Amino acid sequence: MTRERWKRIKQVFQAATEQPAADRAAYVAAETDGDDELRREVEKMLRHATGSGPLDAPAWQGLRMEAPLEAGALLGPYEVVEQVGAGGMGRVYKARDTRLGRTVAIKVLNAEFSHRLRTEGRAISALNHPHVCALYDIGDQDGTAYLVMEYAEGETLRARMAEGPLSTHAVLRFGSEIADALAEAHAQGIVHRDLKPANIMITPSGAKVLDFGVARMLSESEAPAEGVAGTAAYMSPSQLNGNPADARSDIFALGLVLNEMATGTRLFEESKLRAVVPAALAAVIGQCLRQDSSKRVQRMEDVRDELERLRAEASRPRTNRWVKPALAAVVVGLMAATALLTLRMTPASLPRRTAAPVARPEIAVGVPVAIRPEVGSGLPVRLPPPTGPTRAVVRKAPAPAPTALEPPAVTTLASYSGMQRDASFSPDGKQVAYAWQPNGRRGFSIAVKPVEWNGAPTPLTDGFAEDWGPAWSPDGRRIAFQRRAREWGIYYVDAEGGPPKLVAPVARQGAETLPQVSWSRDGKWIAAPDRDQSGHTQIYLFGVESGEKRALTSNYTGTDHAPAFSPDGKSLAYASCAGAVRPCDIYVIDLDRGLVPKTWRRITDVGVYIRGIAWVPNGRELVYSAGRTQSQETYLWRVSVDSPGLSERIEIAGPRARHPAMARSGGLLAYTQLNSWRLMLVRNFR
Amino acid sequence: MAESTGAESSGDVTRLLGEISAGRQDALDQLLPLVYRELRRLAARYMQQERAGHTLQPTALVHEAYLRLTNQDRANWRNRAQFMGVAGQLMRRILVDHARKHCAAKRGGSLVTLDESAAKQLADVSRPEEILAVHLTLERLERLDPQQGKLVELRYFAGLSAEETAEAMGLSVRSVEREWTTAKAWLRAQLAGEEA
Repeated sequence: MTRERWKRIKQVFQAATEQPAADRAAYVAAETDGDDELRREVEKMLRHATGSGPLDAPAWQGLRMEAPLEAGALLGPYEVVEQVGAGGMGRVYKARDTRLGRTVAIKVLNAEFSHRLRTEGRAISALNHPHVCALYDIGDQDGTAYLVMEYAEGETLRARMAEGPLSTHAVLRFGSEIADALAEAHAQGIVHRDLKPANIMITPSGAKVLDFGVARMLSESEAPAEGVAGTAAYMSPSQLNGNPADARSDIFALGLVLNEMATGTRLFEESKLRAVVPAALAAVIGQCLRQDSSKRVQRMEDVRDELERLRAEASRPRTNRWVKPALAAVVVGLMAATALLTLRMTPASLPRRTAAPVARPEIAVGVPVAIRPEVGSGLPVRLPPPTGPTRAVVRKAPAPAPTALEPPAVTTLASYSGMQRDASFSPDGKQVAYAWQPNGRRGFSIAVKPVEWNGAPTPLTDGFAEDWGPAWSPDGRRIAFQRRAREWGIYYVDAEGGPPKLVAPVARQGAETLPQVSWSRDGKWIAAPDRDQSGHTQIYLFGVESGEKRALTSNYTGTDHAPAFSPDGKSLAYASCAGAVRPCDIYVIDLDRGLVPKTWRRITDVGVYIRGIAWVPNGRELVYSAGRTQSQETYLWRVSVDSPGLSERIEIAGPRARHPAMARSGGLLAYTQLNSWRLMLVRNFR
Repeated sequence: MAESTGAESSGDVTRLLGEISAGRQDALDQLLPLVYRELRRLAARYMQQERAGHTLQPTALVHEAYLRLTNQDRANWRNRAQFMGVAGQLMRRILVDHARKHCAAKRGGSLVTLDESAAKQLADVSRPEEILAVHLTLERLERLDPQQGKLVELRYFAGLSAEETAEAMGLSVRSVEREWTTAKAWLRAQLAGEEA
């Protein structure tokens, strides 16, 4: 069309619109006399000149543009630092938790997901795994839902793959890490449902899986008209058909992710895959991707085990190739349909693993709940694995185990003006830190004194707050403590002095005191109790430098407190109380290297009131303070961790002993004596 | 954050608008990024409110940008007209960018909802497509008739009323109405895909 032509069209059109509607057709026919093209053009425009249609409303009206949040914007207690990504569900921001001072990642969901995410009453999954990006919180501001997650430095697997396929080494490494995270989740009844490269972060410490259970939260809240949430490209055939996702859907998605990592394409072609990865890896991936989920490998842990085996094998000299029977069994299952069996195994001799689909998953069930059966009956709880001890009959033991050395003896450790409580030995056992309130002072401060010398103690904090429960770090450089009143929180102070540093604020506790905190062996974490949103108290790990906060326990009815890391740092003892302060029992969590709980062991079965737990330096026994009731009568007890049984009462400490502490060597046991508020010392305690 | 466009830049914008009126093309180059940033910010905010169900004055967005950027009231009609002209062009760019991203994301299938009822609830399912289509069709029209291009930018992309458009373009309201009807009819006919 030329300008002149348009001018003419416009002229006829505008003139026609000024004619009465009935005369328009005749007018246009006359005006366009013989120029049919012009007539058709104008008539067409006239047809569209009335009625409603496009361009009726300004372009941006009704359009949803999710506003990027600017730096400094607040979402609840979170302050936005910058946007770090955007995806189908919303934008992701780096943000600061103003309460804890830690950096977090916040995913702000787009409107269409926001309104589907039911936030209230939705507990946070307590999945705690080095390859899971922890979900800390779910919030809602003005109808916009957001997820608060651990901030992981790195890039998504999707971004990484944009640079091309990954090496077999990387596929095996990230693959086994992801599979391990998923296996752990499945063991806890949590299915991911939306595993894809965009949901996997590649960080300096390996892969981290994001958005656990988010897809489920989304679809669940849509009931009854439940849709399918997830990403179509990574959905299993059965999921696409609308069947509920189970663990096997995650296995399918993992297969796709592995295939994509190796080949750079989402399309699964076994021949292409086998051209770039070893046959055994190709077989594992193929087995994850069976269309029929019943023919698929059934358990994520089998996938993980196989990937880990291949990974170990790849890093081992090739001469030492053998397969453990248990793993071989998996591989047989894996490869049955692919006929890829190599010569390394003898199928006939191997048992076939039966399918064990994961039961309908429950989110928010992270760790077992420590409740005694008689208290918790009727409650939906999982008990820790039974460990044998029957209800303890208190047996009086004359003293600690007999020894060829000097007999145990009690002396005063600290008895200055005012009150002292909560002893902690320095690693060399030469000094003791404790909470001290001299007469006339408002609150307790943290003070240090040599064990073998009764000169004036050195106060490390000012005593304007209430600083209780000091804990000396394993390297001897720092002393952690709880500050109550003023600003409640976990703090530490240099053993040499200096200003206290806040590790993390904690919720105000009730009248009851839960002063005990404990350092991880590497000094990077402090275990301490804190109240959760539901008002119950859990043991958390607070990252000393990172500001991170990870729940270790989930007690749905009462209080977990008095955490104590074992001397080797691999276990954590604590008191778990069904009510606010009692009845309590002692549990030990065995932790993996990432301080992720592996197993729970119940150590006592006495249902008492517990006031402090300490490990005996041999790492096989605990000393704890307990009374039948919440009275002042609390004794020290000793119990074996390895073969839990009856607790022995430590008679020498008397009936008002609380908050035991042990030096790493030298047989020194300190405790707080009630009423007199002195620190006492048992020597030769072995 | 809301005050990021403080006194300094409002002075700048007023000065730049004056220079544009005086025919200095480089002033426009300096002005565009200032206005663009402000419009983007406002657009995002307004659209969010829109979602939350607030009723908006269709022209509120550009007005607010103008007032924020210049600290002037409506009296300075000359600057205002300049500003609206620029704003229309920039709003078009902002919205088209947004629509492109939206459509690309949909094609890329980054996340699908296979839930019919939910999809129906999304009022803007067709909106980004419409914006893109209008933009591309308008490119054809403005080659033939630059004034029409400007008009559609103001009325459709910036959401100005006929009166404001008239003020910004130096036309009578009646002309604006007539031209708008024409442009709309032609664009709709093209969008409807009828054979010529």
